[in-house]
Amino acid sequence: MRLKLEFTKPFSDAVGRKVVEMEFGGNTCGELLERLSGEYPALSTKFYDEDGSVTDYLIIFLNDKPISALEGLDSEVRDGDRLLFFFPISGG
Amino acid sequence: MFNRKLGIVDLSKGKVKVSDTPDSLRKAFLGGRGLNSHYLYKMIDSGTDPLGPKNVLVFGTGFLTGTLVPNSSRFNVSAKSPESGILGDANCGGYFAAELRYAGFDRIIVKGKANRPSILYASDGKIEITDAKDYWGLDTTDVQLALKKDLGGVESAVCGVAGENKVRFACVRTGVKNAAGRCGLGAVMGSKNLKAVSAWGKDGIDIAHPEEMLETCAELKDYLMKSKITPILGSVGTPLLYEVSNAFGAIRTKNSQLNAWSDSLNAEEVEKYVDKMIGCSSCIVHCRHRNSLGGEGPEYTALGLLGSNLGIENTANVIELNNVCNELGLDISSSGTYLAWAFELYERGIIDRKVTKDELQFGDFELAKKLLHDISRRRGFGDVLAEGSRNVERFGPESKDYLITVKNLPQSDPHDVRYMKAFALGIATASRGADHLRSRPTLEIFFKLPKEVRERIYGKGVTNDPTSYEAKEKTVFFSDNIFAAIDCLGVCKFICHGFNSPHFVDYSWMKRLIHAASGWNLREKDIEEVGKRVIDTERMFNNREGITRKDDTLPKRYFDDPAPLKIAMGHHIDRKEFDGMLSRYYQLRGWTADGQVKAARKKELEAIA
Ligand code: SF4
Repeated sequence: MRLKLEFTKPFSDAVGRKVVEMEFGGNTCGELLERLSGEYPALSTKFYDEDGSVTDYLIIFLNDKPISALEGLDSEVRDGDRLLFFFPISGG
Repeated sequence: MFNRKLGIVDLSKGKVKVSDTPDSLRKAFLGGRGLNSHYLYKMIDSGTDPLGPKNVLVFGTGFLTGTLVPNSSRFNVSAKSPESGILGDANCGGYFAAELRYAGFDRIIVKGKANRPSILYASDGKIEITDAKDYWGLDTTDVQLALKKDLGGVESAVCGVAGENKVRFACVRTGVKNAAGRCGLGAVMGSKNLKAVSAWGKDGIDIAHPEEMLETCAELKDYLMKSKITPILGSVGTPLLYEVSNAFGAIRTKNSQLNAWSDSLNAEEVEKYVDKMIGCSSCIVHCRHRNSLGGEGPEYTALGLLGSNLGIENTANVIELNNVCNELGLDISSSGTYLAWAFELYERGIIDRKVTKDELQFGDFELAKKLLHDISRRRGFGDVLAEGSRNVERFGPESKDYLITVKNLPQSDPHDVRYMKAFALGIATASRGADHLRSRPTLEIFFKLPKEVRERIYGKGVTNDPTSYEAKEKTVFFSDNIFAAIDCLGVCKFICHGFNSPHFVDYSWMKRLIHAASGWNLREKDIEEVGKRVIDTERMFNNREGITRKDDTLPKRYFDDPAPLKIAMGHHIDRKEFDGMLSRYYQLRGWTADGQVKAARKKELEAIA
């Protein structure tokens, strides 16, 4: 399946680009994170904490919903999906 | 002494009274915003003219301000707002608040009006009223430099020319860009002929348990520094949010006609103009920029409200407008909102050159800059704009449909709230008008927030879907309470639990810090109660000024115009669902169905002395 991924800072720094279109053979967002960490090693320290668990500081939108509103890392991705990765931050 | 004094200055009589704040009051409100709001409720009669001598202006430091506690730099400036006509209050960082405590004061209350431009100088437990004739007319940085030179190393909270000219959205400033920005409190200074409050002190703050304080602060610092969020805030600052909101379709653009704008205002473009990152007193985060164009900032708010909202793409132009607002002493949120409002009204033919003199259009940097100067000096159309939301009367009722305000206060941050329903309820119910800093609820989009943690924080039934209205009143209720508590402590919201992170300073940390500083054994529940007391006291002030359910609403556009772009496309706020959320919020607060604080609670809070 073909996915369109959009990264904002600091994830875009690790990828070297803001938008990546990719072929993906897996099923879930969790699998996608693993694949991306393999492909872009600098991403793995941004995605995972030292103990290997996925960091709290990553928000992923799958089309128009955060994966928190879906099945979390088990959320299934489908052909043509768009994903947005961003760092949660507040302020004014 | 841990406690400092309360200074009450009557500018009309030229008198200063110095007294203590009773422990009963401090236990009920701690300090900062809470005590300020208590004094406003007690000292200001309903119907008081905010720009008249009967308004009361309070500069109040937080309970922990000036101590070792990380990010304990904050103070609140409060008065009846000349912009909204209701409770006016603004929180501010920098170095002034700590200095005021070292000078011997927790809080200064200013009444009356001086018969000539004046300055208050606090030092060594005393306050002098001195002549300001050499300082009147100076921009905010110039006046602070002059005061430092003349009085020797003082820190000052000042108004700019906008405040002197009683522009209804003039701010109070300390340092180059720290602002008690909202609600027109700089105009209250101007109306009292008060150019500055300066402080210099050498008295350290006596801590009840110094060893415990050292250990607790070291532990807290480690905890904060380990978080992934701290280095990001300290290297990029809030401009990071612009890109996120823009990618999402949540950046206020051209007066919210659009919800996405140019990448030219992303953090990496801003970084090209950053000299270095700096911080407020005792801060371990350092989220602010010093820019190479002669100022500090921009924050996310400036990028949105002076950039996308005005249709301006050029990064340097936006930074320059940010610097202009800071020097003139204009609130950036209100300035960017009113300018965009006027531009759209002109485009729609609701106002014309008979009123505006110039042709108005989005994207015109030179025009925006000129108007900011004209507003601050009340020249031409600037004099009209200086009246803010009150122009609905002048421009006609249709103009109100395009004004992005709640309770006559422009929305503070550039976040288009049509997608996130809890956020929308938060700005509709915030005690000073449309404001994200009172309750911004962000944890719901953390996908790693397990249900039990979410329910422990917010209560049962809150979904992790930001577009759902279900139980969202609980997220606002929780955030409102804890942000009020941290405002009372004088600690920056950036390290508050629930603002940026499900971690950081929660009630259990607050309890430990309060104990180390003062020796008081408060329970977590007691601190939460302080927050609730503050919200109810502020609501009582507003109820007395006529605020009811009808005022807890949103700009028409957020209800009726679906967002046109990106992920947020098609989202808007459903009136019926919103109404349901509001009713449930009132129930949580224990207010009447019309949004009034009930008589028994009012009696209880009025009895606190
Ligand atoms: S985090 Fe930023 S606003 Fe908060 S105290 Fe530090 S420098 Fe000031």
